Amino acid sequence: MDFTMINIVIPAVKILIVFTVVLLAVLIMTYAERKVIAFMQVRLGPMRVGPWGLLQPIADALKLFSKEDIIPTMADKLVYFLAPTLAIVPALLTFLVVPFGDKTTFFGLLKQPTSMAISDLNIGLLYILAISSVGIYGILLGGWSSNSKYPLLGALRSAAQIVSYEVPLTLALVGPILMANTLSMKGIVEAQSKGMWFVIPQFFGFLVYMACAVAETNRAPYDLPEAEQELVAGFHTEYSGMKFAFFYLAEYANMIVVSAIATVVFLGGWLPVPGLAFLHIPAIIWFALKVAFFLFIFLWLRATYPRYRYDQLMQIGWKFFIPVALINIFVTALLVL
Amino acid sequence: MSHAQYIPLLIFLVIALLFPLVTLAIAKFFRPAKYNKSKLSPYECGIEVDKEPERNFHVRYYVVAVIFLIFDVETVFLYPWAVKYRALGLFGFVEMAIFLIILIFGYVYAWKKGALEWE
Amino acid sequence: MEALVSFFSNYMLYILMGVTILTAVGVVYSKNAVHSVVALLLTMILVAGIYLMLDAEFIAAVQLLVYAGGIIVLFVFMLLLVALHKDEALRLFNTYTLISLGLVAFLVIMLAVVFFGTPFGPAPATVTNIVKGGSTEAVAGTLYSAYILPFEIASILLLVAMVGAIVLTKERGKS
Repeated sequence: MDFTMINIVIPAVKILIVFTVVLLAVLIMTYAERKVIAFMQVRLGPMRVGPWGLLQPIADALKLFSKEDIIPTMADKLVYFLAPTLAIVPALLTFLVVPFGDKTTFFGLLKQPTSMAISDLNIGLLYILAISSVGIYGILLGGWSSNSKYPLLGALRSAAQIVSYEVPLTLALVGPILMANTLSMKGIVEAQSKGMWFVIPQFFGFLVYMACAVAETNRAPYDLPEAEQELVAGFHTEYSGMKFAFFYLAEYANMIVVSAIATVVFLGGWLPVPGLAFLHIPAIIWFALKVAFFLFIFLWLRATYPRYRYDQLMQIGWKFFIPVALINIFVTALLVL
Repeated sequence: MSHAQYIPLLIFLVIALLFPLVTLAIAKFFRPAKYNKSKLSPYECGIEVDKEPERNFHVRYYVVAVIFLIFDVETVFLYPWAVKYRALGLFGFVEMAIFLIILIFGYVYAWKKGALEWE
Repeated sequence: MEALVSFFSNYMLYILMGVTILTAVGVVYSKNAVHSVVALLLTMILVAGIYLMLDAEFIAAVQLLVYAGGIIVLFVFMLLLVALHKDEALRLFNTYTLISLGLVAFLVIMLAVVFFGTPFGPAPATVTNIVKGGSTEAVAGTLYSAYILPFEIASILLLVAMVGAIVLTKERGKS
């Protein structure tokens, strides 16, 4: 009974909670995105649905839910159906190891406190990178199976971009691992509880990581796969209704994941801001605040910077971020020694 | 049991796979299905579609993929090294330095040959 | 419930192996090249699952990262780059039947040699002890001390691959 409880019931409950929280966070994020960008551009944003437009995300979700499901005649039906699934499943699975806090007893329901992560794997960080590397096929196969020129071009561009920025992104995370000597997400946070947050000694790694994270999630100013003027809507031009919604959901879930990684690896995860520990704010609130901070940066970037040119984008990835990340590894390795 | 850690992954995988399938199946009862020929034709900004999209792409996409793959394998070597680094000490630093320097030769070669350009 | 879990942990490996063989057959027999690649992708992911069931979590992650997330991307790019007409595609795979038969025979013999040379059965106690500390550390502990030479040679192999790819594409482009 105890075995079933620890290994099946509790994880299943945690998975359902995380699943719901992620979906809610995406809903809130769509609203926040429109509002924040509207305020930055001195507009009001959505105001019609509910007070201050608060019900707008629900209206949007219902709209997408009841939209016609169009499969173009020239599309490869099986792959066309498979692509959104291949985008959303890895995006959700990455949340398996995200530690939202230290430990919880679910308000005293459990006698033994359990980890706030669904499962704290030994290979935590590598697990996230491995799972999210499969997400690229949603884009690639979605673009191919539509059998239409804009999705095909958009998918190819997008894939080349994601692949190029995956290299400096993974290299930038080596520095913090050198300092923490573990891949476990929990272990990385605990390593920071003894010393300072890794954002200070790993500042260059942090900058490279953030820049590459924006590129990996195809967000502005690296949102070339969806450059409207050239590619209509990129790889998901032909998609409609719920299938489109899954791509959209995957993009936002990926944004939350990369923000969560940044929080765990560089900003001390659920730890309180040094000097503010006396406030007794719960760990999960700290975690949420830090993730929200990174998500705000995503929106801020989108409202501030124009889109890159594709050749510039590829060059800065290969010729600037990779050398910086490599030098960062060398210097960190020397200092840790 | 050692893979008890991974039971949640299996449960999560099942839920994540069911989510799109179930949502699409339920939505079937609510969404309209009034199709016609032009609605189902590929998007072309309103122009008639006369042929399949062009499939001859520049070879540089292939080069990017190959260089990516090589760096990907390299990072795979870096991660366990970083985990074990404190135990390996100076020896670990030197062996990884040799490994990386050999690869940096390749990187410099790619740079010089213009494989990293996107002209 | 516990019975179900122990059933899974006992037979999951065999279920995974069976499905892997099915998807691998799908790679060979599907008429559409992209369907082949999708089947290959599934095969790679399932192989990662097999590694996981064998307690090699680090190798499983590497399998996903390099094979599923890297090599298959290369395959898809190749498919998009080379616009094959149907008859060309058929001829492409039929020209080298004899050579490929020879290669396959050689590979089978090599595999048989490895297979019959492997001492199957429960792992020695030392190996299980290492696995408990996490397989990443176990891999690092042996790779960066006992197998340092193969590790350094791997970098030369990667260098050759990179230079080769650039030479093939760049020199052709000029002429």
